[in-house]
Amino acid sequence: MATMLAESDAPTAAADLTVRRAQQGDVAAFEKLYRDNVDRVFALCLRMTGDGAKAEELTQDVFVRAWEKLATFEGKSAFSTWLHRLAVNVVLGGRRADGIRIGKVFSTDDLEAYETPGRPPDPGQAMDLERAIAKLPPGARTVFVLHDVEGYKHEEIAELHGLAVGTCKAQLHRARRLLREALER
Amino acid sequence: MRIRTMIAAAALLGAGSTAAAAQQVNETRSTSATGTVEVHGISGQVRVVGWGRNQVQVTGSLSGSGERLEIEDAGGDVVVRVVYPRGRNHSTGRGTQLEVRVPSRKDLEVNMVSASVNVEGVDGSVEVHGVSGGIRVANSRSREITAASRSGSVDITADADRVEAHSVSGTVTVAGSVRDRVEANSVSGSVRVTASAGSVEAGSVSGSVEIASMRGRAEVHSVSGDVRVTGRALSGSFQTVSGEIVISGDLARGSDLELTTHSGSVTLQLAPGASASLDFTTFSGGIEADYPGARVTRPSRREARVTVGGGDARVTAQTFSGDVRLVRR
Amino acid sequence: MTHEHALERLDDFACGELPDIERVRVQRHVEGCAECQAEVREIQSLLAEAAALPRGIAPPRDLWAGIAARLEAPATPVLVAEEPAEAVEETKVIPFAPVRRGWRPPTWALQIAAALVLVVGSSAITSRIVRQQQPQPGGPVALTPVSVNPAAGGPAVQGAADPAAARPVSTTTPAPVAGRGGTAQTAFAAFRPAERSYQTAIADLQQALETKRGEMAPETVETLERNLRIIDAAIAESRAALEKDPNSRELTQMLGATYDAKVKVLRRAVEI
Repeated sequence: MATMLAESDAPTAAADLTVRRAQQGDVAAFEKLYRDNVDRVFALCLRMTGDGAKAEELTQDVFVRAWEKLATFEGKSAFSTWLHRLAVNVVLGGRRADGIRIGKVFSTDDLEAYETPGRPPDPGQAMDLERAIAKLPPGARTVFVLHDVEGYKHEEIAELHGLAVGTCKAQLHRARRLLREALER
Repeated sequence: MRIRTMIAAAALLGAGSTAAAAQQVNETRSTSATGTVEVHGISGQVRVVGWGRNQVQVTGSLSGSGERLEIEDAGGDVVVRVVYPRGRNHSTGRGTQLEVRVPSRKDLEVNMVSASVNVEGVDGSVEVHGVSGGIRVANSRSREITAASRSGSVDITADADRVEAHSVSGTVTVAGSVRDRVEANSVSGSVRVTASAGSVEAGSVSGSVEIASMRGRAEVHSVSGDVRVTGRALSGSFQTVSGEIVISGDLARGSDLELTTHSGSVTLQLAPGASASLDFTTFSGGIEADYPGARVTRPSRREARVTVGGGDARVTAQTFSGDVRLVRR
Repeated sequence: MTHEHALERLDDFACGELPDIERVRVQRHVEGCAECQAEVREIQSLLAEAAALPRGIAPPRDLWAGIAARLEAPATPVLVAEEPAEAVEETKVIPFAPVRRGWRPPTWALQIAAALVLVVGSSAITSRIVRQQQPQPGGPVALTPVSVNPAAGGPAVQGAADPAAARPVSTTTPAPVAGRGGTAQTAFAAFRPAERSYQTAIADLQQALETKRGEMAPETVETLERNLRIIDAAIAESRAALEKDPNSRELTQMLGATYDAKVKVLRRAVEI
């Protein structure tokens, strides 16, 4: 059954109200936006850093930054898309700033606390991949998460990292190779 | 290795034979626990049941008017097909009556035209397409269930990650527990989603749409059908054009409802002790707030701001000519 | 292409990111090379797993309190103080609504409709005009574009192209008063470009639907037509009210919502 229009991100008249209320300073409306989007943002932060405590901290940073920059959201795309972009910037920005964040040693036990709700289709399979991603070296990890998990294009990723496209591609290929070795496929 | 076997239905012997006997079927194939099973046919009744054996078993009967049953097996992907003689695309009599048992973790796809389809206990992804004849999926613990019919009803009860249920003139019901998203819609049939779901999109054009026990956000729409929310009402947008909207659930703290209708009415039936801030707007309809302890302000003839309890939940209701009512349940 | 060359490009090939010429060459090699096939399969299997990871992970504790503590209300109020929402005379228009929630800047409709139009992919926005249709009460008309004439208060007008598109923005509407921000546009006027975009999207969908009419059951066609007429009547009513009260943002919102409903129905119909 072909659809004439793609499932659109265009907010309907009714659905846009919450964002507008938040833009006008309504904290309760912003809390709703937080609740609607926190899981996505946290998943991104966790996968990009491989560090639970850092991910929590970054998630809060993301929403605070979103509140500050809310006036710049023009409604041209879905709010969640805008927020996601902002989150990527916060995570990578922090990384460039102190350089220590990503290199922090973590233990795989941290990931236990983040069992996704519900039953994984093959018990243990989804967890293995998440763990393996967390173990990647920082540069390879962020590129992999953005490209293969989140679906960003190479050009965007390169720009976000401040690297050449070729370098990003190389990181991606390295990430995939390391992951396959780790998962023994 | 691909194995295809054909089981011919009883051939019509002799020119004078009119009533062919239904051909009994009983076939079993060993297969893997995962992989896919496809079932293709045209009319009759099909029941697919998940079981614990690593086998696909097909039992039942063909109508005997020249149909054949084909089973194709390629490394874990099994196709069960009812093949019709050339020039005929429907069964006579009762049509095919098949029961297909499959390893419960296989992914299932069923394509029928005018058959009723019943799927039970399949835990892989389930996809069922039909034109007429009802579709029922129950007792599944799948990632994903998709069922679509044109005139048949679609009835899903499952524990799944995602459910999509569509009909054009049939009713659609989704019950159970869905982790992520439910999409349910019909054009002239009614839609009822009682599943507890992460997010729901439910709509009809002339049928009514009812949502119960919301867990996440809902987007509900109809044109001339009514929209009803019972149970726990959380967040979402509810829109109809000439139908009415009735919210008779409990507004949870942090509820955020946007209700819109043009000529229909909006009625909120709240239990005693509710806590909500309500913004009502109508162009030519009436506004009524009959709820103990409601504080009402009327900035204009067309608007009312009502606060009950601590004003926790938020409701925005807009109509053009319909009435907007807040009453006590 | 040599095996080594292909190996280097398999990653990009596996996720469809090779330029066409290279893709074809790699594909040809892969078709005849078992090692590369296995490699591609493994890469794609990894990609499928990655794509299937859950989109969201709930944090182990509620982070809102920490966030809320760091927020502060905007330093200056964004809106004007409370004013009565009802326009009493034609010249007294209220460019801003009361402070509480629900107010939206006039550009909202433009953005929504723009997104709609982008999705439809029409490049000839400005030149499209919704064609008028002969009105036939109860007849099988509604699947084809029905234009709305607000002056008539209903969807039945003969002859010319859509008057809403042709008429200049505010000849008969009350002169807007410049508000605090210096805007000189009524809410309705600001919505007009968005309305045109809605109408374009709707016309596109209706055309697509026409081609499918023969495939649909007559009862379904009848249901769709009947309900589209209900929506068109609602649109006409809202527009008529807006002509008299063009600064009503609520009416503009309602009109937008009804257009949304129409798009939803047409989309659903096209998917049948």
